[in-house]
Amino acid sequence: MIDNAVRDVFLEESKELLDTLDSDIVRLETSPDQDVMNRVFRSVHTLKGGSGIAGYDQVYEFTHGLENLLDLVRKGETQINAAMITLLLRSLDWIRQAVAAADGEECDIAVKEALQRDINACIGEVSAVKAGGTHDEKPRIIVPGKTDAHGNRYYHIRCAFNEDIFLRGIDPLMIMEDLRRLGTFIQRKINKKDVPNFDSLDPEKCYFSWEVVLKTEHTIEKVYEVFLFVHDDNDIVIRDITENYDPDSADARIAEKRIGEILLGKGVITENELNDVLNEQDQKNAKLGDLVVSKGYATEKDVEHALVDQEKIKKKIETGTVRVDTAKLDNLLNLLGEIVIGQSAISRLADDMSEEQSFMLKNALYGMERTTREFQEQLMSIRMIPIGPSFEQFRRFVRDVSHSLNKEIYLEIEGQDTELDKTVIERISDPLKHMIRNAIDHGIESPETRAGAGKPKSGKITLRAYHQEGNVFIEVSDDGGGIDRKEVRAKAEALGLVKHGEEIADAKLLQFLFLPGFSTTSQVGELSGRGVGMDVVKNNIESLRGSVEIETREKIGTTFRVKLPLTLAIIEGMLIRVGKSIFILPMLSIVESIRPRKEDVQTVEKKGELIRVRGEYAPLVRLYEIFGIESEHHNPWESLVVIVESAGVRLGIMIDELVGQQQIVIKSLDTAITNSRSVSGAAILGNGQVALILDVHGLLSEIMS
Amino acid sequence: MKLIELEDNTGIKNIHCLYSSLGEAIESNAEIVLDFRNVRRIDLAVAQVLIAAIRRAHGAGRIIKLQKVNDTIREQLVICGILK
Repeated sequence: MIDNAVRDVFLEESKELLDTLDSDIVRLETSPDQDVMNRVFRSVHTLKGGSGIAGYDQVYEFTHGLENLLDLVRKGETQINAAMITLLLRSLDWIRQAVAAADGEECDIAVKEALQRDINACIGEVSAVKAGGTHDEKPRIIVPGKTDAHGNRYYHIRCAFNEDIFLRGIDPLMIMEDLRRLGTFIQRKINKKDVPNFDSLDPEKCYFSWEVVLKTEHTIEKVYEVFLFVHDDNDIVIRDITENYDPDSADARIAEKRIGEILLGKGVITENELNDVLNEQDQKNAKLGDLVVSKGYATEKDVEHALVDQEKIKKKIETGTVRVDTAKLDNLLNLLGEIVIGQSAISRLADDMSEEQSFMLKNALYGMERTTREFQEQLMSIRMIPIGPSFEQFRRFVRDVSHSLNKEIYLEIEGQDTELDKTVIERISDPLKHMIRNAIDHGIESPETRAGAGKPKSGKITLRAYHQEGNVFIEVSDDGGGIDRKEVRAKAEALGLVKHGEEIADAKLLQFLFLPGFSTTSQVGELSGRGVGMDVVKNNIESLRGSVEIETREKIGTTFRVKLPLTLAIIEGMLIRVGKSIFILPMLSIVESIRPRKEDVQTVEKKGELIRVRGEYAPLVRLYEIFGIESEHHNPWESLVVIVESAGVRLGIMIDELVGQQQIVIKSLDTAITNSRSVSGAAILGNGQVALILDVHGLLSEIMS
Repeated sequence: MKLIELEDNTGIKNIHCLYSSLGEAIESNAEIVLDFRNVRRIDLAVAQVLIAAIRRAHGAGRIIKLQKVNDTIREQLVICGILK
């Protein structure tokens, strides 16, 4: 049903719009920018249109008032200030609540009315100031184009709208009415022929396009304003033709102007040359492209390029984006996983065939695997989204929380284009929020303390994302006072985690902060300090196969660095065998495999077994001991050792055989099956056998502890 | 005569209702009258359905009459090329 479809689209779109608005409005407070202001206005306008179409009448009515206020700001008739920012943000909260309210359920009308009163008061103040003429009015600079003897201007306007424009809450007819109000359509060509026959018509799609010549007193700027919300996504071309307008011939030329417009726009031909060929075209009925070439105004290549551009414009109209439910993508990924398992099974069967048959089958499989891999990459790329929008939502959060604590803090965002699996982004949002809240509450000092320490009164939190070694790193940094190691140590000693006088590495000491109930704050605040949260943060990150570490410098600040995999679904793995058991090592963790010499293996007191690789020592792990299984070899110099690395630390893993490399579809393991941090999941192999996926980071952590 | 009275909120939200009503009306051989008395304005989705319906009816040698059209809608129909 259209109602549900429209409503679903609006619900999804409104969430995105409200998040963007949150971030943009907060940004306006620190750096008023006309582009951001225009974006805010457009977003509210889109919200208004969408809410009207989807039947959210209260939101429609409310956003209408909000739009009026923003229009005044946009036009420079009033200036945005902190009070207005707060009003706008509270308005967004109400809209969010109204949109979320179940069908038929009333949202808080009293809040709405109070907000409307404030909005109207702001609008009223501006009007009063305008009427009194006492405000410091900034004259807008408008460069008027030429007019005819009666002060009229003529614009040729071509507008073709995207098929899905109705579902985006925009009615092109309303736009055309707005345009019509600016003057008179003295030429009009309506492309109704694109409207299909009644039986094949899809009433939800837009088929219409217009080409008009508008006679008006207004400047081109005003005409552009009519198309403000559709100009970027639709094919809208507006041209001032006042100088060359000839009422007698304009209509006949409209349809043919496309190539001419493109050549003109690219500066290949001049306006006069275009008019010249258009006149001749009327007489000779020849193609415009041929005429400009024959007259020497453009080369054949120029025309070819213009035709290509024209094609691109057409395609831009035809194609577009499709919203897809992420559950469908997940299903596709699961199905792909089953295909990968199936391929492995076929590959195993091929091993039991005759050499010739096996060769032929594996050859065919090779091609299939290549396609599967490409399919997987394409699928993963669909799931990858930039982290920027997720970061942006914290602008509002930082503003609200810092205001509630009487602190001045601004958020800086870096690496917003860094792409990450959508699921990872969704699940990292809460841990990030908690780390930011901690930075605001405990990290950044009060303005007075900062001033006393010679720091700027305003604190800074930086959210940074980047790719490194096949992983994504997200950092939450603050420029506060840093974590007091002595306090952490004292608390750790009090909890019996470390003995008095015992040496402990810095990184390990700071990891105590992630333990349940561990808080160094003596005051329990509304926001944090209860010792609840950081352990949840760590657990959440580890459930994403990630890790988190802390770097802190006294008086300089603290950085929480989160390392995450690009995706949670598939990894490139190396199958290794120990006795009869198969394990999987992520390829990204493997440095090399070696057969060590006897003299390279040493046992050091309190440090266990070490192996010397290229002059450096790394801990040696015997998997058969960890998992209590059989192994063919018990001496490292008789077996193979795979050198793996995590966070710059190397580790040697003793194995019997390297089986081979393959794509691994990760199946998560219930905690009832294993609580070991050394295992991150499992995979089903082609022969149906289950193999555990080793977590190198967890393995290292377990050994170190 | 087949009279179709348009609701005030006729538009993209419930365009399928209008589309079905018009489809049924065209199938019957009765005269089709669209009554706009309750409608303040239409959107382009409605205009498109009207264009396709008028074309189909015309092909069958029949016409669709529009009645009680207010000035706003008249202007909209002109912009869409339905009325001159």
